Amino acid sequence: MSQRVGKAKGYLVETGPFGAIESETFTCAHCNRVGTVKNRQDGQLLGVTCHACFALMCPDCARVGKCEPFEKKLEAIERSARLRAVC
Amino acid sequence: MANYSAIGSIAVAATKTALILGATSATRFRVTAFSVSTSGTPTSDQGVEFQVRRATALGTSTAVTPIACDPADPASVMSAGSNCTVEPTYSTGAVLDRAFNPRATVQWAAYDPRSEIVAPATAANGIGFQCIGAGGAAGNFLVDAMAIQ
Repeated sequence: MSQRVGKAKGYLVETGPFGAIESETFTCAHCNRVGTVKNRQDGQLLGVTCHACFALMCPDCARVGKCEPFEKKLEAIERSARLRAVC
Repeated sequence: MANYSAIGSIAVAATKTALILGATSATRFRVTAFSVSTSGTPTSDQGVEFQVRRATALGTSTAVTPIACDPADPASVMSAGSNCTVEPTYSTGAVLDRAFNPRATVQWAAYDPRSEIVAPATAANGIGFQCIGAGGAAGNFLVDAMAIQ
């Protein structure tokens, strides 16, 4: 767990009438979704490390079971848009 | 890369987009930070829910000029719109889903390039900040976002 928190790469703070709630966040390398690292959260619920690209991914992407970096998805979106523009 | 700021607002209501950032085929943009709050006196402590979502059509909104944080930077290629009268077409799901007390302010920042929220370099694609549930909030739903391109 502490290793994962160390790799969390974002910061979220909610400043309200009852004080400030601070959380670390991580961004899934496969879907770009931002997940909140709750205090003392079980690592199993937080996400896992992809052993192909060695980046954190969310539980939903972990269930897919293959490495599909978000960069490749962006390239696919851009490629299909370019093809549509040509046709 | 240049850093830009864009601000949007909309009267608090469910499934209404306060700020939409739009890409072009020329360049990707990356959201590095944002802040969300409401302006009115809350009617109750029921939470306001919002989502950051990917859009494949930008809808209709009031154009906002993204402001370069460094005045020496060129004008933004990324577009921005506030107060959507026609909602953008969103992809299923959300990049971030959060509820907060209507008296609160939520701020998020990425401090690693791999944590930024990226939009593809494709025309009419973008990232929207949508109020999902009004809860006890009143007044306007306010969003300001920082993005680099």
